[in-house]
Amino acid sequence: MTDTPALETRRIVYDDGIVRRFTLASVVFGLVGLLVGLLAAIQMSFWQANFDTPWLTFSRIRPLHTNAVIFALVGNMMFAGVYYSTQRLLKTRMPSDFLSRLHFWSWQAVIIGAVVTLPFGITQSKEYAELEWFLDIGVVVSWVAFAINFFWALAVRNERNLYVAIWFYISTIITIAVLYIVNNLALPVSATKSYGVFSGAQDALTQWWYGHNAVAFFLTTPILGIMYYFLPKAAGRPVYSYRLSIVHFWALVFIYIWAGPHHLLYTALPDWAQTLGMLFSLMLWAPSWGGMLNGLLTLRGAWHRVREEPVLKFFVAGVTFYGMSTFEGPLLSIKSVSALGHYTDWIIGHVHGGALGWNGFMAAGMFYWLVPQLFGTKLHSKQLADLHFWIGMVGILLYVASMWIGGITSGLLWREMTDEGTLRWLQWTEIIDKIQPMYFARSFGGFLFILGWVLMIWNLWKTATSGKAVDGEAEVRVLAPRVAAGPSTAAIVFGTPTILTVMGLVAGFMMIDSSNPVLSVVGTVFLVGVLAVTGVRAFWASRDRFRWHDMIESRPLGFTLLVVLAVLAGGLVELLPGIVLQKEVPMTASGEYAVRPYTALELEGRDVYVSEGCYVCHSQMIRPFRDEFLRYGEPSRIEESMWDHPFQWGSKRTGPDLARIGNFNGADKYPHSWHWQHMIDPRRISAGSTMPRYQWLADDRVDLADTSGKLKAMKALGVPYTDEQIEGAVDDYRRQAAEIVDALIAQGEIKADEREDKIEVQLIALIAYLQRLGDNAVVDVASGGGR
Amino acid sequence: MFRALFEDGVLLDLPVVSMLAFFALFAGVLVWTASRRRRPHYDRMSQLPLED
Ligand code: HEC
Repeated sequence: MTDTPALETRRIVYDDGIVRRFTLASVVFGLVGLLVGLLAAIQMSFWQANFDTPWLTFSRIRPLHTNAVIFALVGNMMFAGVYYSTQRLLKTRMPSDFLSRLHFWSWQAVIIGAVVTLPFGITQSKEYAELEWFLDIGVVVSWVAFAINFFWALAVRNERNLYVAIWFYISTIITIAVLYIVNNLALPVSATKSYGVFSGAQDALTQWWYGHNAVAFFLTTPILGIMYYFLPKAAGRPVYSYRLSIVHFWALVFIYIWAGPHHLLYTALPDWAQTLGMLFSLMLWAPSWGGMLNGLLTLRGAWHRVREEPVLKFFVAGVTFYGMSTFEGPLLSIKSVSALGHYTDWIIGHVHGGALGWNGFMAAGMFYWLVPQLFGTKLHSKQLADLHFWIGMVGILLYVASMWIGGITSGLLWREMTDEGTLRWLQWTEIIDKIQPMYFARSFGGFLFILGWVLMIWNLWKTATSGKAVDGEAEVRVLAPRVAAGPSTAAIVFGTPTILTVMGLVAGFMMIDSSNPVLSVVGTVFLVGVLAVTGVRAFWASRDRFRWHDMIESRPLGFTLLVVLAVLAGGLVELLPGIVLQKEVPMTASGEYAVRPYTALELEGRDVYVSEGCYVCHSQMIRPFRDEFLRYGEPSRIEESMWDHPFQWGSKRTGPDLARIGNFNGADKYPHSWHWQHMIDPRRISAGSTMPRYQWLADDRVDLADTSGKLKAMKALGVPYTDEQIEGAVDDYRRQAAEIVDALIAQGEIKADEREDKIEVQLIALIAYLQRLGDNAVVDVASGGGR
Repeated sequence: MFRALFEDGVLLDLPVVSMLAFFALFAGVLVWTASRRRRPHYDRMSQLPLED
């Protein structure tokens, strides 16, 4: 494709101020996020490390840590990289300084908002989507400002074709918008509390469709874009293979979105969704490694420079960690591996290989390269940067290795049997004791990483203050506005590659449909055929004749449309069946709902559970394994959580599963007094427990003014409450609470003269909820709602 | 014969078969991206980050 002759040349000044701002925000907020993580890690060994303070308690700060690292450290770093590279790759200044600033300040406002809400129990308790509804609105405003500015820049660009980094940014902006909005759809019930519109299995699917793709499109694709820009720049040589980057991009964007259910293997999720998640996860391995190789091979012939240049060291290590994580991820998606690794610290190790190794090191590499440019000077000290590299590297390896060992050990101990066929390790605290050394090692590893980060801040600070802020300038040829040559955008978007992809998908579904063997065979043959045609076409395309991609590269609209199609395909297939199936309400033989909605008291207790964030340590999802049956009871059934807004299946078992804590083989597992004491101080009951104390729950009250409103909101979301239940919510609440209080008085836990006082405290509601868990009738499969 | 084929669960391997096909395709693409002669367009595009 030929460029039209330039009309004129123009001198432009890039907006690098915005890059400096995001850089500063990333390193500073990032440090806070890392420190909170270290505090949480220490609490795994010393429960006292919350200093008996509610807002420093593990279940409240762990979400703060994850959100801070994702949205503050990586988010701000990504924006710094995107603003810097986009302006230069498109040869234009960001069109609106106002939008850039709006983006920056609203983003930081959301981060501050997270800091002042999450530790105080204002949370949706869905992983990485904990922020409550009013902060979600802030996120959307910020993201929209970013998107408008970015696409506007595409419209006024002075470079005809879009470089691969820009493709990755497009996919990020589009996909995160879709994911974030869908997963956070909620009905506010008060200024600080909302109920998500999805519940149970459907919520689980949506949440992990989001959670997994937040990893994909927030922590991966933008950083890959950054890799494709900054790595060649730092190395002074072009990317190894542009062609490979095309394959890398499309394969990744297309496949990633399907893989979410690998977080839900062996749960009550329908089997087809699990299998789909596993298959697509395995396929992800290929493009991910393609990308890694493309990054590493960019340095071919320049390896000696890696030794001298800390920037390249960080990039090479970062990309290598990307390769490790994207190998480990598919591995963990294999059902039998997941059976061992899920709910254990192995997953925490996996995440940190990615977060510290890939994101953390790419960030460091980028900042060491960027800050000298932004201040027109040289890096203050290469030695210090080298030191950071090695300290950080040891830290990461220590972290990851200890979590591997700790995770696999606990996974094995959970399932170990005696010769008589009973569980070998009945006491949870015995298992925790065994992995304590690993928790120490992990904390130390994390500490080292933070030490490195502090060295970096110092180094960057000295660098910045040794120069002064300069904005990049360039002479650009202004691109004539014109209609692109060649076929129409629509013709390109719906061209052969798209058609082949759709055919491949149809074939894939025919193949997986196990109900009809003939169809499966036909589907397989069809699929192999499509793949073959694709291969042949790709081969012919290299003869300079076929330039489908050259064309789509120069048309942002068509390009974006294709990204949307690729992303929606997987999204719809995953979400739609869940949405359709879920509303089937299972009935008992006598015609009642098999799953009773929570009483007012239980619902309020559940909200306490959600607000405290117990899900960070406890799952509510028993998998169909013998050891789990012995330890926790019958496997969880899909309908049991159908009224749960949000679902609380959890992803980590630092403590035991709680799905049947209120009904273990037909009776409450523990009396009320057990829970009362255990929540006030777990060690009174369970010596050696690492669970934090929740003594404030025995004094803090539930706000009964909201209770009927909550039932009403639930009803609006489809939970079958009657009008009488809604109107009588408070009376019903007090009646049921009084029963529990009276029982506790009888058991000597509460003094008789405190009766009135205690009826409304949060702990009573929480106990009611815990005692309810597992109490749903077993239904005939025939009456629906099952798998 | 077909019956036996189906009942022995060979069909369960179909996803595996196509998965292998997928990987073969991917390996092919990898080799191809490495070996084909360079196109001027790609050369120009990959120079973009180095321009300023
Ligand atoms: C830091 C992780 C952690 C957090 C957060 C946590 N727990 Fe625990 N929990 C544990 C551990 C470890 C055990 C096992 C030892 C024990 O019984 O105390 C446990 C045990 C329990 C048990 C007994 C389970 C059984 O089958 O014996 C219950 C009930 C419980 N926790 C409820 C809660 C509730 C409710 C919350 C939130 C308010 C919570 N936990 C928060 C770690 C945690």
